[in-house]
Parts: sequence; C-alpha cells; structure tokens
Amino acid sequence: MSPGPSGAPGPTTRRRRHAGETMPWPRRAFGPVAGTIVSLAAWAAVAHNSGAGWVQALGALLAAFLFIGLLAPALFVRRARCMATAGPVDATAGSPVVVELVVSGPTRLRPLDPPGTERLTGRDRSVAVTVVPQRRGVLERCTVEMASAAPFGLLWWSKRMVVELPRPLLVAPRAGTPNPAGLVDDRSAGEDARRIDARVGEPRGVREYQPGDLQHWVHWPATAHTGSLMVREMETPAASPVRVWGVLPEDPAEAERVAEHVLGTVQSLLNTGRAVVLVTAEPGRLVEGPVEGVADAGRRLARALPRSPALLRWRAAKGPAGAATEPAPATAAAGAGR
Amino acid sequence: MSLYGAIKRANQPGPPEHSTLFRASAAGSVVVAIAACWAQGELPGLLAVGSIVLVVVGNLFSYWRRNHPLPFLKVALAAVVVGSFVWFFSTISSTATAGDLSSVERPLAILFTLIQAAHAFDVPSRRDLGFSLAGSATLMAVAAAQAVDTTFGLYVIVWAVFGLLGLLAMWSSMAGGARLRTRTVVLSAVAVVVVGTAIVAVVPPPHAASNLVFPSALAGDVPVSQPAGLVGGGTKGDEPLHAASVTGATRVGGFLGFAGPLDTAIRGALGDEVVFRVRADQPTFWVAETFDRWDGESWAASPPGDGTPTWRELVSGPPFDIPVSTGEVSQGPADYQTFYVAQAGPNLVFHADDATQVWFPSRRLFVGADGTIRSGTSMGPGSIYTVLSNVDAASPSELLHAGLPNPLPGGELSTVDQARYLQLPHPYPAAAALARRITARAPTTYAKIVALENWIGAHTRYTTDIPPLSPSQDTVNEFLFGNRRGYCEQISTALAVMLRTLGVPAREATGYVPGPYNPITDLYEVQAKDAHAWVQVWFPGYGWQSFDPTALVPDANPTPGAAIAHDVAGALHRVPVVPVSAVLGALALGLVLVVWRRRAPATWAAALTAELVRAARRAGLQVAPGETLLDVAARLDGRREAGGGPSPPISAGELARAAERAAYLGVEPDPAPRRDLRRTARRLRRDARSLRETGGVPPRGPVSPRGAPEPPQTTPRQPAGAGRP
Repeated sequence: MSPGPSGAPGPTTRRRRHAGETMPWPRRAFGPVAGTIVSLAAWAAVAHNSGAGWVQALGALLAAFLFIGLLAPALFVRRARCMATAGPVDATAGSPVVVELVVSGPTRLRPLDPPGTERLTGRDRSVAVTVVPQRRGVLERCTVEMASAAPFGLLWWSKRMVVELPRPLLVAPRAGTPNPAGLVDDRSAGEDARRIDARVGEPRGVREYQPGDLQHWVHWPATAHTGSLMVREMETPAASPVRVWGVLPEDPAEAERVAEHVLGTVQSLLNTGRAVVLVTAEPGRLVEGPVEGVADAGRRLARALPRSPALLRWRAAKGPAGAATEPAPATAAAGAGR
Repeated sequence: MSLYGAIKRANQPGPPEHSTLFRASAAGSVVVAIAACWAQGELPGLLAVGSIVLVVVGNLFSYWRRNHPLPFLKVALAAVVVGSFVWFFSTISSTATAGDLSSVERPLAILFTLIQAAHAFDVPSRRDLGFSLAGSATLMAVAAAQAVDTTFGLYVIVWAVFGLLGLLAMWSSMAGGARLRTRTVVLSAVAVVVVGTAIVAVVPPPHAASNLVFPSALAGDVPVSQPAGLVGGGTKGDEPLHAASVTGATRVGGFLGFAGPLDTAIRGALGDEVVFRVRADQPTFWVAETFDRWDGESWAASPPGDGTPTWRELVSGPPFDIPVSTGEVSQGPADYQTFYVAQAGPNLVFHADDATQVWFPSRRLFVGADGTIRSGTSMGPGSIYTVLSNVDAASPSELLHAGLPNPLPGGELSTVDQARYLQLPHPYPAAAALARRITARAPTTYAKIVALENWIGAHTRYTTDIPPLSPSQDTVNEFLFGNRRGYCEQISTALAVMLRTLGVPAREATGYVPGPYNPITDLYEVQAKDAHAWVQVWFPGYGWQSFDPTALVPDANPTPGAAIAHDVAGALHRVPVVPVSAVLGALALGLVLVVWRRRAPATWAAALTAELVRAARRAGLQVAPGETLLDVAARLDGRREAGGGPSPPISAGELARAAERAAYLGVEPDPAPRRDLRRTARRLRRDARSLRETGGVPPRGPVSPRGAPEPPQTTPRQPAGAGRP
C-alpha cells in the first residue's frame, strides 16, 4: 500500500481487499431504507396520478439524493484506508494505550480488537485512538471498524480492517497477587552466593573517604599512613537470585491468571531487593534469565508462550529446584538452559 | 420504556449544531420553496414575504440559542402548528371538492409555510435542520403541482443546490467537522444530476387519474358578444379577428388563422412564443375550426344546410358532454388533454378529434355541427381546460379497404353534406386532369390520397416566403401550376381541391400540431408557429380522418439551424429576474461570508501574526520565506527607529514574542491584555504605511512575494481516551 503525498494512506492502482478486511455493510439500515421506500412510493403515487410532470421530476431528484445518500457510503468505506504510524512498545493489560492512525478520509473509527473508544477523524487525517488490550501478549495488529456516511450522512456503512502496528506491542499482564507457592525457586544457599557492597558486614579493605561515608568507618591507621582520610570498605553476602517459574498453561484464561500471579510475585520480590531470575517459554526454547525490573518481567511474560501439560508435569516432578532446561519432547531437541 | 418515556426521549433536543453552512442551506431551501409556491400563485404575497422573513429570523435565533434552547418555546410553537392545522381542516372542509386537487393545494401550501416559519425558531440541532430540509421538499412539491413551464426549473435548481450543500454540510458536521472539498461537491452534484436524469428517463410519464377532477380555470376572459361568435383575447376585444403583429398584445406576428374565414392570400410570420401547453395521452392535431366552402382564395364554414343549427349551446357542465356530430363514428381510445393557455387567444376550444367531454370553467359552451367547440369567453393566460376525446384514427390497412363492399354499418354522409364537401368554385380542369393522372392506378380513396400526397411531396417545395396572391389568381392553380411553393395552407388546399375533383369529400381543418414535448413537465409546448392547416377526408364507417400533406413536402430552402442566440434570448426573457437575482445575491453573500470566516485567523496568535505581517508589508518590508516572526518584528522596529518616530508602548518585537509564546507554549495572556495587544497590533498596521519611505533593514534571504511566517497549529491535542460527540 503506497502512502499518499502527505503520508496518508492513498489509493493503490489495483484495489485489493487486505487480509482481515470485510466488505462494507450498512448499520441500522432499516429505518432509512424503509423511510426512503415509503416516501418515494407515496411521492410516485401522487406524482403519477396528479399528472404533474414537475412533481415527478422533483421526485426523481429526491430519489437521486436518497439513493446516493444510502448507497454511496459503501464506495467511500470501500476506498477508505487506515494505517498505524506510531504506537508504544509496552503496555499493560487493562490499561489504555494510544495508537496513532492515519486515515484516508473523514471516517468514524472504532477499535474492535483490542477494544477502544470511538473517534471521528474530522479534518485530521492523523488521529490518536485509545485501545485497551484485555490480555497479555504480543500485539502486532489491531482490528478497527471504519465507518462513513459520506457524502450526505443518511446511512452509515462500515467495514472491519486489520491494521498492522508499526512495531509489536508487548502487553504485560496485570500485576496480580503474589503467589510464591509453586512459582518461586529460592537458591539462597550454596556456591551461587555473591558478595556485594554494604554498609554493614565484613571489612574488605580500605578506600578513600567519599562524601556520605559514616564517621565510624574511618580507618585511622590507614589515614595516618596515607595522609588522607581513609575509611573501611564493607561487604556482605548477597541474597542469591530467586528463580521464578513463568511457564504458562495452555488454557488462555488460566495462563492469564498465572501470568498475573507471576508478575505480582516478581514485583514483590523486586520490591524486597531480591534478584529474580524468570523462567519463561518462548518460541522453541525455555528462557531463563535475570529480570531488570517489573517492566522487563512484563515484557518477558508478554512474549511467553504456554507449554504442554507434559512439560508442566515434568516440572512438577522435578520440583522447584529442577533443571532449568526443558525436557526434550518426543520429536524435538531439548531447548537450551541458561 | 413507557410511551411517555419514548415520546420524551424522541423530543429530547440533540446536541447543538454549529455548522453555519448547514443552517444556511436548510434555511435557503425553505426560502426557495416558499418563493416557488408564491411564484405559482399558491401563496398570497404578504404571507410569502412574511414567512421568508420569519424563516431567516427564526434560523438566526435558533443559532444564537442553540446551546440553551428556551424551554417554553416548543410549547408556543406547538400551539402555532396546532392552530395552523385547525385552520387547514376548517378551510378544506368548507371549500375543497372531493377529487379536486387544486382546491386543496393552496390551503396545503399555506399550512406547510406556516409550519416551516414556526419550526425555524426551534432548530438547534442537526435533526431539526434535517426536518427543515425535508419539509422544504414538500413545499416544492406543492409548487411543482402547479408548474407547467420550464421556468420552474430555476427554482428546482436553486433548491437542489441548497439541498446538496445542506446534506454535504450535515455529513461534514457528523464526521466531526470534516472539510468540505470542492471535488466532493462537484462529484456529488454530477451524481445527483445523472441519477435523477436516468430516473426521469425511465419512469413512465404521469397520467392524470380519471377519477380526479380535471383542472380548469379561467383568466383574462373576454365575453362573447354574439353567441358562438369568434372573439380574440388580449387587451382589445377584436384580436385575432384582424391580423396580429409581433408587437401586439400576444406578440405573435401574422395571422393566427383562427379568425373566421381562412384567407390563403394573407402572408405573415408566426413567432415561437408558446401559445399554450398541453398534457395529452398521445400527440395529435388539435383542431380549432373546419372549413368546407372554397372560393379560390379563402375557406369558409357554411351552415349545415339540412336545418340543423350551426352552433348548439351546451349549458349542463362542467363537464360538458359533446354530442356526436352528424355521421361521425366515435369508437377510439380515450385521450385526455389538458390545455394550459399561455397567451391570450380566441374563444376556440382546441381539442383532438371526436371530443366527447369538456371540463371548462364556464357556464356556456358551443359545439358546431362539424364537432368543433367554442367557449362563451375568450381565454387569457392562465386559463386551463380539459377535453376527453375518443381518437379514432383508423389504420392504413383499414382505410385501404374502406369504401369497398361490406363497409362498417353506419357512418354515412348525408347527400347535403356530400355536396358541401365536394363544393368547388369552378371545375378546376387542369387540377382535375392532374389528379386523375396521378391517381390512375389508385383504386381506393386511401390509395388516391397517398398518391396525391406523394406527388405533392415530390413536385412542390415548402416555404413561407411566397409572393402575395394577386386578386385574379387562384391559390390552387398558382401552387400546382405556378411557383409550386407554399406552406400548409396552400399545400392542404391543393390536396383538398384535387380530392374534390375526384369526388372524394374533403374539408380544410386548422389548429395546432403538438409542438415540442418537454420531458420534465410532460407537456407539449405549442408555439405560435405550430399553427397548421391540414385536410380531413370522409371515410364511410370511420368518419373524418386527418391527412397532413405538408409533412411530405421538403423545404424550399434548407431550414437554417436553430438560432441559438434567439433561443437563448427567448429563454432569458422568460427568466424571472427578481427572484433569481435575489437568490443569486443571497448565495453570493453567503459564499463571501463563508470564505471570509474560513480565512479569518483561527486563534489569537494567528490573528496577531497576521497583523504584524500586514504591518511589515505596508511598511514596504518584503517577508522572506522561512523568516521568523521575531525577525520580521525586529525589522519593523528597526524601520520605525530609523524613521525617528515616537516609540510605541509595546514594540513589534514584544507583540511577536507574545504571539510565539501563545503559539508554541500555549500560554496566552488574560483577555484584557489580549485585547490590548491586538489593538496595538492593529494600530501598528494602520501606521505602518508612514514607515514606507524611511528605508530600513533589508530583508535577509531570498525575496519572495509570499512567505509570511505561519504560526504553528495551536489546536491542542486531545488527551488519550477523549472522543468526539
């Protein structure tokens, strides 16, 4: 589809219906059509039997207005085009998202999937519509309903059209209630312990004073030796990262619920300062990696795919400390682990 | 939902309509419809003018109060409407006649007009304006019922333009203020014209229902001084007994031919003024008079000779039942013809052959022994009458066998009538020999007629430019053996005389041919030049059958192509100048207002910018493309300093900064400082001309006649989730 001179969607040399685009159909046509038929029939009867040619001519003019008003919108709708030009990268299920659309003419836009608020484009070719994704996932396109009653506003015709988003929209699940049971794999003990700087803990060495250091950290011997103010540097064992299992069941509703719990759990762990490693299933492999924040976890969960019950049973058998690698399915090689 | 709730919900005012174009178009369509009814005589002048004023004032009032309609107004207007209905029903119950549409049309027009005038005060929303548009269509229909000529088309065109603009503006408003593009307007107009024309072409022409009372009216009548005497119309009571002139009251040059004897020696020219319009089931000759006595120069109508009166007065009508004339056989299909008289004319009731009933608005009607009809008054423009005829035109095959053994029973001419219709002033030996030679191989009457017509068509030429007939000359001999040039009177007379020499009863008939058919009005527009003379021949069993030998005669000189300028001038002459000028003036004014409003700056910042740029141009500064407003203002201040004039309280630079803050930051001053700044900018613009001669800072960049810095659009973006109504 080649854009018009102003960047707006323009007509193509050959009109093709794009995938997902429906034929135009009239909305609430009964009233206008019935009114037209009754009016014209009555007019024709009076005109014909009165013998007055001008009444008949006027009726023809009126009929022309009505026919064009009832049928021409189908042509306008059929030619109407819509293109997404801008949109965010991240979103949260249940929260509004603004997508910039460019349309080819004055129309009425109503996002259907995901649902959103109706907008009249008016004079603007570029219009921002608000959609509210209902579920988490990767949204690459949205379905909108374009309607027009041009040129006379007598009858609305509409069609559905699938609009490709400029870039995939990662819709994170809502942050549900944390549910560590069955999701969290805490590896606080063992050789994975890391050591991090801390205000209290075991001394590691000395360093130069920096603004903010406490008075009692001053190491006087080192200070006397070096001639500049020196303080003790402390360290403490870090909490080992918590492994959160984010592989979702196949049932969409259940997957959504589990994803919400996972995100809520990750959020609560991050709020307590714990490092989190999230395990999710993406196309062809299991991905296990640290999350940098709630947004990162949301993106991971948006991309997560449900996995088969066999995997879930394997995971249950292995327990929370089970291997990170996905057991090899009957016909596919095992996915990579960390 | 209860009924009360449904009614209340239906009467809820919709959101206010802000589109001035929609409102103006709806009001314009109503005004045009009222004007159309007035032009057709459906409304009294005072009521029409008053209603137009009320419609305009009402729409202005509704626009002013559109956001807060007055709650009591609906009740008051409803009372007016109810009162109008009461008046209407009381009027038609006392004056209307069952089946007579014309008795209802005038009260109906008044009722619709009153409703529109009242409704105009309460049209705040789009739906109300839509009702106004629809209501104007019904008013136009009432006017159209009385329209018989093409000048009504001007009202239709203007009304259609308003209707088109109104509908387009309605859609523009529904789409959230979408811009009305010229292309859309033009395409829509073309589509409407094409579809409307196609519908007109396809639907059958209207046919007045026979169970309705046919229209009839009398206007400008002049009473007949002698019973069944001929009298002309116009300002004098003697036209068209004498030759009329192009500058006369009827503006028809030459002799109308309907003034008693048909004198073929008189030469004249007939104009193209429409004499009357006819709605008829089928086109045919509309006969006025017949003549049986030929004297070599003129035709005259002689009395029957068998004692029957020449004219019989009919008093039992309307409708008047026309008795079947002697020897006639009336057996053809019914043909209703309604005549709308456009020019003052004689008291001849034109009709198709074999009239049986006449709806004529007079107590007196005269029918002749030959079946022609005269009224008791002449008729002025606006007169209307309807005739029912049984057009019994026999087919050629039937006529071919007429007169052979076993003719149809009845329908024989009496001996006296035979003598009348074979009368000749002298034997016409040359014409008789010619006729015998031409018809030597024609065994039947019909074959003889066809042979004679063909000979006339092959050996004579049609022209109205023939020399006058000298007193000693015979028209037929001069035509057949002299110049062989003539028009319908000479040609038909020659045929009639030749038939009489062969013993075939024939008579001369005069009247009009149908004239051009107007597909819009469904009327035949009969012009003065459509006056015609033809021959009627008696066929036993079939009666008088019409033959037109002129149709076969080629023109003597090629007829010049239609004089376009003359047609255009004629068309313009018929245009109602005053209403058209008024409507065009209103349209032009509306267009100017719309354009002016569109070009007016949309925001305060844009207005301030426009003032500064105008001031710069007045000061002689060229504004380069891409130059910012601050640059322009700096140069303007520089020019003023160079001129040495007094420093203003607010410099151009400060004005420019204020405009840019408003445009880019959305920060506008309070209303009072805003007005002061605007006032200062206007003063700066007015005084800028004095800076023209003082020189100043030359423009930077390329000089261009255009390139005024445009402030960016300050339309605030809608917050996410906001919708439009």
